[in-house]
Amino acid sequence: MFEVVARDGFARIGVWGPEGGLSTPAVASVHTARLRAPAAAPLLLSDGSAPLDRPWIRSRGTAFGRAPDAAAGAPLLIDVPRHFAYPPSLTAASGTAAREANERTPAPVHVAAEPAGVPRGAPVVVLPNLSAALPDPRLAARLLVSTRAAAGPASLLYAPGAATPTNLAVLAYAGVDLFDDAGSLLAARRGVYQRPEGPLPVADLSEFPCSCPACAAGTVRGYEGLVAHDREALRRELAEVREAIRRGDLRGLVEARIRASPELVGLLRLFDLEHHAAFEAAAPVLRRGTLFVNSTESLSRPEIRRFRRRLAERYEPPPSARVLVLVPCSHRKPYSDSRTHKAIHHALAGVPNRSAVHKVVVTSPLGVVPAELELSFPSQQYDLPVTGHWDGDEVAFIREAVAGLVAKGTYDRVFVHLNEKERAIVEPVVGPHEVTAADGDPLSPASLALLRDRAIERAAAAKRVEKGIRHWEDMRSRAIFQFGPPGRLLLEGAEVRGLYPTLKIVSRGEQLAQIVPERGLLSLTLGGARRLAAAGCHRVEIDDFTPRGTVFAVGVLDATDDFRVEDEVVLTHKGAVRGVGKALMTGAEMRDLSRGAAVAVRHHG
Amino acid sequence: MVSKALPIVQPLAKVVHSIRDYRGRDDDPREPSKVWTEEDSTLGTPEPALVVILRTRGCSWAMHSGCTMCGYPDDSFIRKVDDGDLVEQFSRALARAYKDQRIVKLYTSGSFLDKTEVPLAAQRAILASVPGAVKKVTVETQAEYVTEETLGNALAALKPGCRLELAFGVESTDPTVLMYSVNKTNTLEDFARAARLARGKGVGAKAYVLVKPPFLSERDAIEDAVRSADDVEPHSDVVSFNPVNIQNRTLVERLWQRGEYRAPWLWSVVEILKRTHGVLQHKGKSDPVGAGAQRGAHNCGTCDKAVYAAIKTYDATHDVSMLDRVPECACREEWRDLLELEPLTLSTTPL
Repeated sequence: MFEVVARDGFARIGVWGPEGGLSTPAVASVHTARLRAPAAAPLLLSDGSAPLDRPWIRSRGTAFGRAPDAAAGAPLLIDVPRHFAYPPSLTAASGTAAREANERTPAPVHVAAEPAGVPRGAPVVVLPNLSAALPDPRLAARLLVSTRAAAGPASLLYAPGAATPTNLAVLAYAGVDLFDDAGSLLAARRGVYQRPEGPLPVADLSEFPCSCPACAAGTVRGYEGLVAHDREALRRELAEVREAIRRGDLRGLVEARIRASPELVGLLRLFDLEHHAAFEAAAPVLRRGTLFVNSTESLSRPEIRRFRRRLAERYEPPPSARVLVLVPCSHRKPYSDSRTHKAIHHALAGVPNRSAVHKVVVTSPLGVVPAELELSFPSQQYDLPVTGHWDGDEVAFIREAVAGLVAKGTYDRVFVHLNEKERAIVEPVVGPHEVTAADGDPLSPASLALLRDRAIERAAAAKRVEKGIRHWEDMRSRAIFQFGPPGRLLLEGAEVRGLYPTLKIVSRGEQLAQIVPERGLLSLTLGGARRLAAAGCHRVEIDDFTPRGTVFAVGVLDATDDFRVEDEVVLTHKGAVRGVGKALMTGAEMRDLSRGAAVAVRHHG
Repeated sequence: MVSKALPIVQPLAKVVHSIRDYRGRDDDPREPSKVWTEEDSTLGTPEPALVVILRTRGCSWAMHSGCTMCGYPDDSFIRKVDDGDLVEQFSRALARAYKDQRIVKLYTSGSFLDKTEVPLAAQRAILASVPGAVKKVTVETQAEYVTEETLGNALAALKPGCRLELAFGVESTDPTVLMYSVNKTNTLEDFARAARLARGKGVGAKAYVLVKPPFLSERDAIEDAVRSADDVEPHSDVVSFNPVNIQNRTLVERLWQRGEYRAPWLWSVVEILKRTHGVLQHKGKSDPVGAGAQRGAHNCGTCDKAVYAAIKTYDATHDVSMLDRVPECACREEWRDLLELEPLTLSTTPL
């Protein structure tokens, strides 16, 4: 019944319905005897009081009313049962009572005033309270996240009466698939001119920042023209949202749109700060394009918090490293391609026992990026404004990461090769250290010479580390960062071969994995997959077949929840490894969806 | 005695109970709560009527939990009040404000005929002290307190030539609305029984129909009031439409503060009166409390005065054409939109 065609976190372009008649996210247009939908509207929301010639959603009203049982017209896609729901402030106290008041919900549409009791996989779940809850971001966040969590990915979520051009993006970001234009009609009636950047009283406008027919003709000051404009503003924003999902950049659109309203900013912040686990599980481990960190909210977005968390939980500095060099980040990525890092690399090139030296980049928003993780998403993809001014949150992230690094490492000496401002950030937490960017400029010949001289001295004094050992330790860090603790299984009895960045893990002549530099991920061979399968890591259990090309969700019996979209996954059947490939869905989607591509298979056995 | 005609929706009752302040008051129990004079046309022509609100222990149902829109318990002592004090309250009211009015309305923020609230002897003494010039006395009561005993007691006390009218807070005749919205357990049948008993003894029966209890959309509210009026008409001499006005320490106030409730539009009151006129004829009345204010039935602020005036004129004259002659206002289109859009979007809160 539902297939996801493109996904970006919880948001998805989907195809729903018996003949795939509905493409979501979608906006249904109100269509009654008195309020007629535009001829071009592809989907209608109606009580049946007007002739219906297009796919429509029937609403029968609330349980207190006596809605007419109008004859059905053209394809009735969704039949919303008559339903009474207590408003948001009361549902917690009276959820059960409200359920008693309602008729048995005819499957497949479930009306959920509260997430409790939502049947998993119900084809459509209606959230009647969301529009009333939006002024209270904490409540709205809870309703959205909990309802999606209870229903699972296979359900279409419909929030009636909620959409505006301003909030459409953030609601889609939270997984709402279906909207209507009731808000546009009321806005027009109340003389409100809608734009994604926020509403304005039409009476206040001298010029109209829009070229829809009503704005161009100047009829937008009257009700009919304003309805046309407000509807068009919503339709246009829907296209923006859908395109952003296809591009994998819905988050960027959301961060821009929420500026219009403190409640919407609050909603996104609560998603990031109080519902991180849910959004992180839906976020891919790799995105194309640049990840812009352009606002305070960007610092807390799921992928970035995930990186900082994995750094804190999964990462340990190479045990052989004795000399830590904290270096600045660079605009060009991966860091090793930048002028800054090439200069530092060159300065350290002549240092004997170089493998005892560990370069770590100090950066916002990731905190620190150890050199061996410079390819791991989003280390080579992020971009942010650099003004020399650091805000409190950035300083906190960096200090936390540096402190963790120094605590976990076995360094004899720390060199702080940073400018004065960055030095001031790390000094309170870095412990005993030496400043090698003596004149405040890490790239000055004097600084580089000082770094080289001090590094030579320190590295010489440290225990000799063989290059192969250090490469092995670095690779183990990458494997654990990507797969969690089971990643170390890939390095047992193995060695690292090849030239950076296309390094390979080889054991007894058999290649187990290799870095794919553009992805910043290890890709597995069947041999590597077998090692991880033993630990039940990143596992997708398929039915009894040989996976070739693509494994579809219908062929998946079960999946673990430890991998994300774009991750390497191991395909198994009753304990035997059948293949390995890239996850195209989350584990939850693989289990709940009955259609769609689940895994792009690379090798099968 | 609390009627158990309908089951109580416990979670709702608990919420209502939790909002109340059961500390009670410490006013002088010998002082009436409020006394005033207002215009009343029920004897044919507009004339002054004396309104007295006695302060009693309070409504029995409110002691349990109470109705979602009713703030009367705020005006009650919560603890028992002496017979003598209640009689003294009425006595003082008469002394201060009685000037040969022919109509007396005697309210208690509860049920006058509830013996646990106003003891039988006090009921008798108070009614006996109604001056001879009074032709009509109205008291409010819930249906369960109307018995042979209380009616007999009241009729014996009143002077000949003085008609008694009982006013009942019926609110709605829909069990779902009563249980899940008003939180009241008395049904149409309860009212019908009491009204029959009363009218059989020549006592008038007035039914209050509530307009827009909480959680009803504007359209649901209209339909509910119209249907309820239809249901109570055979048992009533007067049907009074009471649009909810938002009182302190009620559930509707809490909802209203959160943007989850809007008092009814005056357009809805007009609509209800027009649609019920055919059945009610001269029985239909409405004088919305706090009309035009945010806490009362209101429109947009611009046309409220004119629309309220039309409602009051209908209330006095029952000339339904007065309701058609209300000047148009742009907000009426918004009202019409809401009638459709609220049910369409399953909203139990205002859009």
